[in-house]
Amino acid sequence: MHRLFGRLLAVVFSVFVVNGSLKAEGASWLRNPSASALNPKISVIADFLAQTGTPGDPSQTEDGFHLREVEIGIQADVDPYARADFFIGGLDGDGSAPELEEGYVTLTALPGGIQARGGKFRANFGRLNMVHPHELPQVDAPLALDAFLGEGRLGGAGAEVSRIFAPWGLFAEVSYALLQDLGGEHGHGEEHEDTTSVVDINGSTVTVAVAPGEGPAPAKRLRNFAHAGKIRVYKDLTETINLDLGFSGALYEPKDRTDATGAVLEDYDRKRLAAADLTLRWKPLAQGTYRSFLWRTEFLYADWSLAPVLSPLDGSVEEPAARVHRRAGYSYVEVQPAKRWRWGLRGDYLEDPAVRDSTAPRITRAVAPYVSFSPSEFHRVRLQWTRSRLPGGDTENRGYLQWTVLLGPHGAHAF
Amino acid sequence: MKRILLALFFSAGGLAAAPLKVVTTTPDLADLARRVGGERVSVACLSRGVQDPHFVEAKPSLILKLREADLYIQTGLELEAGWAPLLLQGARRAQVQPGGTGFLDASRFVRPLEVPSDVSRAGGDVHPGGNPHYLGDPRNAVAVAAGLAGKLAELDPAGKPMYDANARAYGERLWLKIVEWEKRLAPARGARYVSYHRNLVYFADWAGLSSAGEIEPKPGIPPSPRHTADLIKLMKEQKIPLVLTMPYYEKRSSDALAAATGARVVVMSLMPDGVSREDDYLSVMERNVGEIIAAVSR
Repeated sequence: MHRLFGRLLAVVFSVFVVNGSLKAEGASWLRNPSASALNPKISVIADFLAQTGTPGDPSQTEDGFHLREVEIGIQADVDPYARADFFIGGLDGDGSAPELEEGYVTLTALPGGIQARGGKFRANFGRLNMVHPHELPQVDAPLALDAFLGEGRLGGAGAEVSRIFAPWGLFAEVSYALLQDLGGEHGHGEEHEDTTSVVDINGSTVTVAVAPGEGPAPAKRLRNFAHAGKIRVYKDLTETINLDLGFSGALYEPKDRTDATGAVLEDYDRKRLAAADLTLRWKPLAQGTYRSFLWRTEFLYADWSLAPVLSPLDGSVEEPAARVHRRAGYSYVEVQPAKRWRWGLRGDYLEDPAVRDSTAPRITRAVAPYVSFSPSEFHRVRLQWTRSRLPGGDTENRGYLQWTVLLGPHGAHAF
Repeated sequence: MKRILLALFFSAGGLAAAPLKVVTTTPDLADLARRVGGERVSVACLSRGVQDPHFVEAKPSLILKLREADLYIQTGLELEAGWAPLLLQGARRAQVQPGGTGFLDASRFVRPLEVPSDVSRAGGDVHPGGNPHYLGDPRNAVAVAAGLAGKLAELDPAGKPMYDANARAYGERLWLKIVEWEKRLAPARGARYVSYHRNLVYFADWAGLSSAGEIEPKPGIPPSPRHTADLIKLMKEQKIPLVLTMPYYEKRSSDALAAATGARVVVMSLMPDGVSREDDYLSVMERNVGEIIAAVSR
């Protein structure tokens, strides 16, 4: 991965440097679009974060300045039939290893209005699953997303098809994805593996894998793949007001690994997720760059069958199998009073899906006012305060200052 | 059976006569497409004239307009770079994707002004290919109309005589108006103005007006108090009589300039549907010319 990243950086660097030196020399061919237009569009997004506050758990404090992430995007048409998008992220100020966040090819010339993509991607699920951290409407993701969809979000290697329809003059989009697993904390494999240090019988400290993902991953058979789908319906209520509705579902039910006699060798978490989202927007036609309003809310539901957690030392059951039903949601309003300013307020509700005791769903509630200022389309500063009521009654207050800059080509703004 | 055959015959005839579905990004291009295409085309537009064409929202309802389009026409020069690509991708229609037979960038028919020699965002929201507001010059509209005729004939060869005739007739009509407008604009030649954004460069180049500066310190950057104060000082020193703006820009800055300097604010539109819903390109230019003449002869 480091080698791959090194090569990619070299390519990015050489593109910038070569372009820069040729501009300095006034190379005439560079002004000819045909000579440079075949380069992919390369963008770099840097997201800086300063935070402080009073955490519920003092040992978990992350006060200070952070280079939260640098993301490199490389995008281009492959040919008349396909487009490719690659996003390398995971780079932060702590020296974390870079990671291919997404890399997929979209087939753009399929018949019947069908579009398909394959590779590694975030599935079209819910409203914010596909949104990268720097593009989120607030500094942090709603609590429901991290807990239900994982920090890496719901996605992975696979393929997705989608089609649009126009029933009764509405815009409707249906998509379906077949994925290796649900990704993030939902999947199995080394990138999701947790470890712990234990003392062995010789008195030496050793690192061992612990659940989830301590055992072998489910067999890579079609029946063990994950499924995700979404139906989106959009309607212009007037020229300035519109309504966006989405209904999503995801399913990951890998079969237990058994021996020849049918005895279970390894069983796995089975997860069902559902989400419903609603967005109401207002934006005046003539003064739309100066004023707007948005209200968005999303409800998520998890039905998880969690496999027992075994001790890494003796295989005894540390936590029994459980079936949990959990709910979560968020809602926020955002007001744009002037071209460069936006302020908003988000509320969160979360029942922790990792808690197996169904009689005591650990509930977190939070409220987060924020304000953002954008000197230009490519530059944003955002201030946010989050007050959380944690399970057990503790209160946490966090303040954030986020600074995001975009270098590179002007990208279209997602709606 | 006879009735079925007759029905099939007439329905086939009806299909053959189905108009070419043209979708344009802006109302000025839509009007030109209607003039040239006549009854052989049906034209839809992705934006309204009162909207800032740089910042149209890529609403899914606009994707529906594109999903059955035979021809997509854009202004180009990155005017629509912030929204049109999303609509094209969402439309899932191969022929109107860039490079497809139904994709047309109308800027290919004109000579762009203000092509930057050094592209940098330090200069604001710059357009690397040049200033995209070229239909502010009616001579460019003649060139675009002729280009549209060629493109429509390529997609619908049977309509070529009509497209050519329509483009010729519309071009002649435009040229007559251009000659008339240029005569009327003679007293305004050399008049200096301040505009909100650099979207009147082509109009000014044709009409003989001279820009003294913009309310935006750099393209896309809102005015600061310091910049506004400098502009007021400049306008007073040079006795600049005109502040030209568009319906989609905030009024406070232009009104403040006018109040401080005595200059007249003229709300112009380069788009049909910008000030009045019934406008077409010719009447838009007619109004712009009239407003400028009225303002300088005050």
